[in-house]
Amino acid sequence: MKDTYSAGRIENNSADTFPMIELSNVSKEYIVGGSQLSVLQKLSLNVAPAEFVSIIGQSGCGKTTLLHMIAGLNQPTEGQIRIRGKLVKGPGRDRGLVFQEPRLFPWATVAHNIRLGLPDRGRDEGRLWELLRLVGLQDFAQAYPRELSGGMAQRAALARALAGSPEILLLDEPLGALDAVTRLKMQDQLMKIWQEGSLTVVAVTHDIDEAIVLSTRIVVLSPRPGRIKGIIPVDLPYPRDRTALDFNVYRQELLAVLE
Amino acid sequence: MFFDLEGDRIGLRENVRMRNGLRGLAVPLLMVLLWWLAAESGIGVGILPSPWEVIITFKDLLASGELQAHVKTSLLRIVQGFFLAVGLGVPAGILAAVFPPFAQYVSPILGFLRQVPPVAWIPVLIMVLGIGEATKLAVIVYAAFFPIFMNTILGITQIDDHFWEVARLLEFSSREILWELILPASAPSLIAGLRLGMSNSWRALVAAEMLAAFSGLGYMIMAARSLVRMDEMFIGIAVIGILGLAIDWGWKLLEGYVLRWQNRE
Repeated sequence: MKDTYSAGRIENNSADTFPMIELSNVSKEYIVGGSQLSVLQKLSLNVAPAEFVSIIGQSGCGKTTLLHMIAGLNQPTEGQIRIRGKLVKGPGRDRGLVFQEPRLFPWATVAHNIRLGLPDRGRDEGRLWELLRLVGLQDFAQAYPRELSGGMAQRAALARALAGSPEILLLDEPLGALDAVTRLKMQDQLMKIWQEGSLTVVAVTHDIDEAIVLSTRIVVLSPRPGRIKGIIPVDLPYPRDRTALDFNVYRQELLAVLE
Repeated sequence: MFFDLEGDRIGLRENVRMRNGLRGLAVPLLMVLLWWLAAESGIGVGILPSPWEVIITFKDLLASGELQAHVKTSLLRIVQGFFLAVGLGVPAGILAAVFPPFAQYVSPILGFLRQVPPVAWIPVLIMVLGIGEATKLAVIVYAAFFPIFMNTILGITQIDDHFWEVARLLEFSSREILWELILPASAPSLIAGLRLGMSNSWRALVAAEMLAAFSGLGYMIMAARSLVRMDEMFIGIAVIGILGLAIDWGWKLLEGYVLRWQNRE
C-alpha cells in the first residue's frame, strides 16, 4: 500500500477550508463573426490540494480556454474562479502554466528563458541550475530554442512554469506534439515532479491512457458548449501499470462517458 | 581517395567561395582596364585622367591629410546625425506601435514627409539654418528617420501574440517588456531599419555637402569640379562608395551577432 494514492494526502492539506481551485458556474462566451459562441457553460468543479486532475474531451470543448482562465490570462464571462478562496483577477506566482507549444523566446538561451520564470529573474543561480537539472537540460543551458528537440523544448517550458514555485501547475496538452517514447518519458518525469512536491496539477489532454496513468480524477467535458459530462476518480496505486487489468476497466469507463 | 571525401568537399566549398569573390572583382577590373586603354589612346584628353594620374593624386591627397580631413568630417556628421535619428525614430516607433492613437495622429503627416526626398529640403534648411552643421545634421536625421521609424513599428506589430501572453503570465515589468520582449523580438526588423537608415543618410549627406558645406566628401567633389579636377572627383566618388560598402559590411557583422539565435544558412 505504500505507493497508493491515499485520500489522506488531500486531508492533510485541507486544514484550510477552501479548495485549492474552485470553479463556480463558470461560463465563457466569445463573439465570433458577430454571433455569440458559447465555449463553456456553467462549469462547477473543486480541486483539492495535491490532486492531479485531467480534463479530457474532444477538441472545441473549451479545455484550453478553461486552463487559460485558471491561469488568469482570460476572464470568465460569468461565474467565478477562486484559488484558495481568492478570486482570480490575473496571472500570479501561485500558478504555473505550460502552453500547448513550448513558447520559449527564440532569442534567449534555455537558461535565460527559465530565468525569466524566476521571481527574482535568476539572481539566485542555484535555483536556476536546480531547475535545469530537474528537467535534465543542464548541458543545454546555453543552447537556443531552435537547437532543441520538441521534448527538450517542452521540458524547458516546464522548468519555466515551475520556476515561480507555483502551488498549481496547469498543463495544456504539453505532451501532445511529442513522439510516443518521449511522451512516456515525460509522463514519468511529470509523475516524479508531482509526487515529490505538493503540487496541484490540472492537465488538459485528449489522450485517454495518459489521463488514466497520471490522474487522481478525470473530468470529461462535452463539446460546444463545454459542460461536465462526467467525473471519474482513478483509484489505482502509483506508479500505474498500463497493462494491468484494472487499467482496462478505467479505459472502458472513460470511453463510455466520452461516447 | 574515398576517405578524404569530407576534406575534399570542404576544400571544394572554399574554392567555390573564392571563385564567386573573384567573379565580383572581374567587372571593376575590366572597367579600369577599359578606362586605362581609353586614357592611353588619347580619348578625352584634358578631361579624363588616366588611372595612374588618379593614383598619384590619391597619394598627394593622403600625404597632405586633406582626404582624411574630409572623410573624418563626413563620418562625424553621419555618426552624430544617425544617433539622433535612432534616438528619435526608435522611441517614436515604439510609441506608435504600442499606443495606436499616437500612430493615428502622426501617420498622415509622416506618410507625406516620406515622399519628400531629403535633398528637396536642403534649400529650405539653408534659408532657415544657414550653411552650418545644423543643416547637414537635419538632412541626415531626416533621411535616416523614416526607415528606422517604420521598421521599428513593423518589428513590434509582428511580435507573436503568444509571446505577449508569456510576458503577462510571467508578470513582466514594463522594463522587462521593453528589454526582454519588444527589443529582441523586433531586432531583425529594427536592424534592417538601422542599416537602411544609415545608407540613406550617407547618400543624403553627400548631397547636403555638395550644396551647403565647406568640408566633407561631397564638398570635395564640388570643389574639384570648380577646379576642373576630374581625378579628385573620381577619388571622392570611390571613397564614398568604399566607405558605404564598409559601413554596410559592419552592419552585416552586427546583424549576424545580434541575430545569432536565428536559423542560419
